[in-house]
Amino acid sequence: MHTLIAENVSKSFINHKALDDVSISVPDGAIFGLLGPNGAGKTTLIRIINQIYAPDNGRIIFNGNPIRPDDVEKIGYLPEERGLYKKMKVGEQALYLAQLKGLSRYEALKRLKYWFEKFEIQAWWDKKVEELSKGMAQKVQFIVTVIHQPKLIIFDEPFSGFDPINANLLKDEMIDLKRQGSTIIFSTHNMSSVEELCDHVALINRSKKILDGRVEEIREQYKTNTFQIDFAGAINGDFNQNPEIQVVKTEPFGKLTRITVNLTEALSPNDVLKYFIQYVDIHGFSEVLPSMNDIFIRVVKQFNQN
Amino acid sequence: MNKIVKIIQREYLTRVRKKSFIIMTILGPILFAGLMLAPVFISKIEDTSERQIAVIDSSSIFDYSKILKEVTLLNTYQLRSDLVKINSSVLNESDLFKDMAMQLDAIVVQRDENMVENIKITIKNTLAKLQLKDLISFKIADSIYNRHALYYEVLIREFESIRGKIPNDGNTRFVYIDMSIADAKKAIENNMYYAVVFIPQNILASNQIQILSKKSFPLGLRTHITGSIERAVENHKMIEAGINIQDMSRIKTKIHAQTIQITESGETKESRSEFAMMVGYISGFLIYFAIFVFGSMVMRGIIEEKSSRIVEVILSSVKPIEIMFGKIIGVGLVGITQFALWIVITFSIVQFSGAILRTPTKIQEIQPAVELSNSGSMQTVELQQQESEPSMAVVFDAISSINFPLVLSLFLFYFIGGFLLYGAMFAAVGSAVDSEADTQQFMMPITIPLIVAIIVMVNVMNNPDSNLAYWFSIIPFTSPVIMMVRLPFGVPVMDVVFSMLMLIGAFLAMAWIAAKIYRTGILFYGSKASWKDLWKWMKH
Repeated sequence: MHTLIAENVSKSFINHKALDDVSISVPDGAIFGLLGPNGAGKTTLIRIINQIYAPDNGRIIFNGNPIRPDDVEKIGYLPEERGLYKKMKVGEQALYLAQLKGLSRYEALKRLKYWFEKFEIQAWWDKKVEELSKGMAQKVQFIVTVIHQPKLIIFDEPFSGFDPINANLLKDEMIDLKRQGSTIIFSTHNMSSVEELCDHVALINRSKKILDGRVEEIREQYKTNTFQIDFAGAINGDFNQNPEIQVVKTEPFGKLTRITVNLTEALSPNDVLKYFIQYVDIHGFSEVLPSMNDIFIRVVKQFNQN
Repeated sequence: MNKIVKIIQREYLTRVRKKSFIIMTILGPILFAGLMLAPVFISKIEDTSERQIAVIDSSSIFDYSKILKEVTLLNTYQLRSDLVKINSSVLNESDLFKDMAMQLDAIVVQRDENMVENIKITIKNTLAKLQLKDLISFKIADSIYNRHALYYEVLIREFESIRGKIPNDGNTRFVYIDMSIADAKKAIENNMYYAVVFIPQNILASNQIQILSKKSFPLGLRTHITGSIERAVENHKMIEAGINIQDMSRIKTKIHAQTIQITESGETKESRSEFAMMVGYISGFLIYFAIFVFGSMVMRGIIEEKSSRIVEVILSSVKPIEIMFGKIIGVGLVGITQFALWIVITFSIVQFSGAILRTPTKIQEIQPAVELSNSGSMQTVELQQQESEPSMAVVFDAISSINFPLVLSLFLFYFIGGFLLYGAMFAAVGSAVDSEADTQQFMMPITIPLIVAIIVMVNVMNNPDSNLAYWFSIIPFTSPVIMMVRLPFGVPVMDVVFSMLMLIGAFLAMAWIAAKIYRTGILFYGSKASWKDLWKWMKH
């Protein structure tokens, strides 16, 4: 079951094509990473999902049905460029935005009370937004994004502009929301957060989707047969003789030494172990999967060259 | 639907609760009253210092003292020679006659009210001195006095009746002096006089005068002086042409017009175009003012949402058109609230002050001032005697003679219609820019029709039934202002209905265009939008 499916979505603006036949499927309860360089079309796709823009072609399926105007109440959205009314009081503003998402005043008040207590920001209720720091405003923005307990939550570049404490808080909250059954889409450049949080990713470049799938599968798919061996003490002889085993890097690793090696397809990890046991006193052995960052750069470069 | 109500609510409440709104609501009527009273105060402030303006009249049209001087000099000689004929030893008393001549000269230069008396006394004294010296008898002195002194009375009266006058104006007094221009300049420098008016001898031919002053000369005072001199010169020329003074004052005519309007129900009532003009001017101007004030309020609100980036959050909850109209309607309600409060407060002030002004005089039932009676072939118009200056009670009655419920309800309609039409334009502009500083380039189509309306307004007030007035009260961009100006003069129902329909139609068209521009513009950041962009967004 998928919370959201975008089918062959295209969108053109006056001077350029923002999305070209992009399809993504976001499974229920997943954290879905929408990756891509600046200007790739991520924000356009997100705005189409939020029904801010209408697609030129293709359609959005939400909860199994073509998306309807009412569905905005089941979606929470934190835009990349986020703001609040500066002259309005925090509580009043949160209440207003919550009611625009379809909550009754009573329900909105109850839930805001819960969130304000959770983030320990009750004292801000009667403050004007312009009196808050940026980090404080971000907490308020997060609350109004999730206040209506949406089925799908969309964060556009959530970690840009967040200070580390708030970024961490946000990560924890995202995991929490996932546990409670929400589906999350977030777009980002921050690849470490992708490895940490995402189950699925899609990579959009120059208005086209160029890669998608489960994170582990992608990393598996792009692995380079690279292994790390940690050993203690001296090396007995020269292990740089096997043409099938190429040592990429040697570095100290605490009291140990770590070498990184690339293998040809023919060799198995066991072969490697057998080979190195002859020369060194092995303390650790592991496969190195490519980071999402490496994959991202590689795929985008490759795509741009073609 | 529920959401647009929420938006309207927010837009309305945040503005109405602002201190500036409350202050403006209270201050508005006070400022308005102040504006009306300001000219009175200003004129009071201006008039506290008394000004003296010296007039040097070489033409003797305004100041006959020169002629009088010559006349007295001649008269002195005549008097002396008359006396010498009686008693030749009078010839030895030349000092006495010299004294008399000097005294008379001084009296004439003085130009005061007692001039005639003083001249008479001087002559009498001279004669008395001669009598004391036994040079002439009492009888002779008396007959000479009668011949030479009493004659001044007639002479001066005659001079006075034909001389031109420059009346004192407010606190400005005009005094006649005899001095050279150089001396006059010195006198101005020494602040003896505020200014000097020099009238040349050949004024009748040259039509030129000079006004010398230290500061720049006030226009009103100049008009007063030239007007007075023009009248005097004209009179003089008429006398020269052989028209006598009695004829002149008979010829002068001033027509007082009483305008009667025949209403649709056949009644006649006196139309008071001044009040109609005033009501039209005020309501037309208020609409103009309201469109600008509340229209730019809409624009600023939209720019605020755009530049603070809150708008995208809201866009994920409601449709762009709902945000735009929520804002326009919310601000419009703020405007209506403000005007309603202004009207209530102003009317209470008017009622209150009206009640105070009316109580001392008995309230009079003002009958239709004029009755047209048709008696055979002769139509006579019976004029009820009216006070030359309307009292405050009359003013209040005239104000209440205008159909206020109609004016007020149409004011409300044209305010709403005009505001919605222009509000949509303001909203479109607001959505297309990143900051208020960038609005300039898009403001032209908004400001030009409004300014044209204000320019045309004066013409319409003077001529409310002209073609110009008709078309500008139909064209939706100017009709809210111009129709309000025409309305108090009476407008055919058809015109009003047509104008209203046009306004509604224009609003719907403009709303559609504005919504298209808004939808794209509101998320358009960074590069400055151009007219071409707006056109593309509209077609997109």
